[in-house]
Amino acid sequence: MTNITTITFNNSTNLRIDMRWVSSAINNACSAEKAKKITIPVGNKTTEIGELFDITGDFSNSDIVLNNASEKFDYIGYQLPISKRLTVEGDCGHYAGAELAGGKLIINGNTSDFSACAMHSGVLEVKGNSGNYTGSAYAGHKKGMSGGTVLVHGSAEDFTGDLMRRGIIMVVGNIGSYCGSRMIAGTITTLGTVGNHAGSGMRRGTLLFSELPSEMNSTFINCGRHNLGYLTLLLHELRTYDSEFKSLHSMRRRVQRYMGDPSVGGLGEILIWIG
Amino acid sequence: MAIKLTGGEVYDPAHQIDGKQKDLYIIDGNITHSLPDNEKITHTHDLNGCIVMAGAIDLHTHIGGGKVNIARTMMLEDEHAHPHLGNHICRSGNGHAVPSSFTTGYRYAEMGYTACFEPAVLPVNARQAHMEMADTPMIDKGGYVLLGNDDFLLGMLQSGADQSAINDYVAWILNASQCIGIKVVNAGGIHAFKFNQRRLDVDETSPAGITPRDIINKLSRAVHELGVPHPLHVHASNLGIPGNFKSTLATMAAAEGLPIHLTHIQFHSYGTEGDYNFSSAACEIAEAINSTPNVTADVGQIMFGQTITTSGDTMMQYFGHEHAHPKKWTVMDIECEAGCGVVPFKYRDKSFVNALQWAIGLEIFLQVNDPWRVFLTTDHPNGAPFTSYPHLIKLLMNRSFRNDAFNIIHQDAQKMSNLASMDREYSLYEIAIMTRAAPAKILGLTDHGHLGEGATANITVYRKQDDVERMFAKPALVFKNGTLVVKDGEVIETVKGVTHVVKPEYDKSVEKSLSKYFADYQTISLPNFKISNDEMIECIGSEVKVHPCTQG
Repeated sequence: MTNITTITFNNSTNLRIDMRWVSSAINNACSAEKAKKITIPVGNKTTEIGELFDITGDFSNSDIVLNNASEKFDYIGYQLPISKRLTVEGDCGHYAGAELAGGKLIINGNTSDFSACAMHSGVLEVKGNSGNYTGSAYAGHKKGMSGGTVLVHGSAEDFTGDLMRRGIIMVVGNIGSYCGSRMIAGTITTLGTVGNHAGSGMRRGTLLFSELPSEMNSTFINCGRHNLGYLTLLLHELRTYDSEFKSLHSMRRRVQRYMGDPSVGGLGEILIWIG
Repeated sequence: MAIKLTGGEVYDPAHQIDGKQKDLYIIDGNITHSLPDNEKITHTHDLNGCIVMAGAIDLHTHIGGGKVNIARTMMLEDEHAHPHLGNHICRSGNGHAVPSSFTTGYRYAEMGYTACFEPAVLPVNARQAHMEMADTPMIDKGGYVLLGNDDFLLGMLQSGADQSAINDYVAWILNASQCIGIKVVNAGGIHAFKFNQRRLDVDETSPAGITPRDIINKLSRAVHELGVPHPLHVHASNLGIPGNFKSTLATMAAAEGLPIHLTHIQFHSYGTEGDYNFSSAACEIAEAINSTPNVTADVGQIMFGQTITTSGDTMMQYFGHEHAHPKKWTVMDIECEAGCGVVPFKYRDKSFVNALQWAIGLEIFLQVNDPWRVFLTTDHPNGAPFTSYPHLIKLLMNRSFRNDAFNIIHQDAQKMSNLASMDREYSLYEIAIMTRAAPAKILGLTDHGHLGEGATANITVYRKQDDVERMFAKPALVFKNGTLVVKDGEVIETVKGVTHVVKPEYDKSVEKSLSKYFADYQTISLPNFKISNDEMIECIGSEVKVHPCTQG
């Protein structure tokens, strides 16, 4: 039997639960018994982890499974380090994969807002939909996601990649409004539709869409059709993930290019697949 | 019902007591030196090996008002990085450079402070500032109301109004805004900024047709003639500009011998010598303070690290916005009165300018001879958060520690400063003067800052240690109005402080011209502008303690 640590929620509380304790358990390579003694604030009380979760296996294992998760669990996969894989059965709350540091976080459900917020590196795979501010910065902070890959099999909502610094966000479904707003650099791509104001205030970076957003910002400049060689390299990367992106032909590289946002320097681009 | 404090070494500069063993009693929130016959001692604290001082007073710390809230909102990095969990005594909060209001109160109390004064209350924002300060527990509060850039006063000066009319307006503002003193920030400069002027020197005519010298002169006279105990609290012109020490000296002269308090004077003591065209003028400034008995100053020491600067001085905040770290800032006009600028800043010991600023502050501390006229502040949060006071005290009290710190700052800054040659070390008595007795005296708080018979029982007890930084960071006991609120540096009971105010007399007819001004230009009507004592207690939630004005 491979060594898998399982964490199973067994409490009926309706209060939100801050999952950052998993990160400290991993850092200290806690045993199940030791992890159960960790205390966290839940509501207005301090609660031991043992009262909320059944845990088997210790946290030095590279595979961790979280069962019975729900949208009340915040900060799932917070600072998950390299060589760790956390699989979540159920939905996640806010800040899933926040500050992800090289680990792999797989969510078999939906996530709420601020997924992959300030993520450094690693992979966040969401099998369902993702909320607002995917791959963005913490509210009030200046730098969003700074590396790694986010793969959303469903749709992502508004402000996807807000203040994003580096890395790739791949969305199989649709993206809401303000996609790539205030983006510093990085890549966001989708196979579905995109809402209004894509790339508003973006400095650099690439938004790669399969069709024109429903309303383009008037500041973006249409630069015509291009054959961009680097897109084959990008597709090579996109096609390494097991997703709908594999359906894109590996040699595809013809796009309509829009440049912007000139109000803040404007070295970013919105590319629309053609042909 | 008396509490006895026995065996402690008492430092009470107001009564020239320098480390004498003495017993104190606390009865009904007041200090007595002997126990009346009919009183029983309910609790005795054995303070052998301890130092007893009055509760400390911070006379210049930005803890309330709009700009602090803007800073809190802007620096969410600071808030996220420093969460403070609540417990069954304290509420939760967050922040280090600009802590939330409750946290501010707890941290101050945990360092033995029992009164703090917000130095920039805009009249139109006074209600909000008082509400915020009412939410700052554990300490007494007070505010200095900001004048000197408001259209009404500038209009009066422009039209050549006589001193008595100005006095009435100043007194009316003090009454209406429930404050204890008058502050001037960059006299006329904030107003000039609204007319696109980016500098204004003391003798330069502003767009309003008057000079900063006029404003300071008239206001310091008004404060003096009204008998307000705290002298005019002046943030001088040209903050942070190399060569600004000349403006500072001119500002001192503008008071024409009347009492004047120059605040965060470190930021106003810069010369233009050397390769960087930036040098220390601490010597000139300290000499001027030493030879001018009407001048008092607080230092506004900087400490290395991340902080956020909040000031009413839009002109100088705009000047400094390019150095914002992290890169975000705001500067705004506020109604007809003044403005506000918030710029996050990181002081670095490897930066020549910052390192020299640090040295200049300490040079001023060490060169001003009279500890009754120089006060220990960091201009929280502009120079550093107030939680760095114990570190600052250690820098002042321990020469070798100071020199060790000096040796690691920017090399060129070391060459431009003579700090290493200064061998003065502050004594505990002098620290007690500059943090207790002197602020109480200059603010007119007769029952604070000392341990005499009948004084309010605000007492801080420190456990004697070689490391004064640790000693001042965690007092053994802190009493606020006779209640034991802090034990071993931790809050054990929460209490509410009062708001200290002065209410000088004025001629009621001043409201006649004011009501027209309010109707024409202000956003709220005159009756709504005034904050009554009842409102302070019932709506804002802080009791008012009025201190007498002695005219003459």
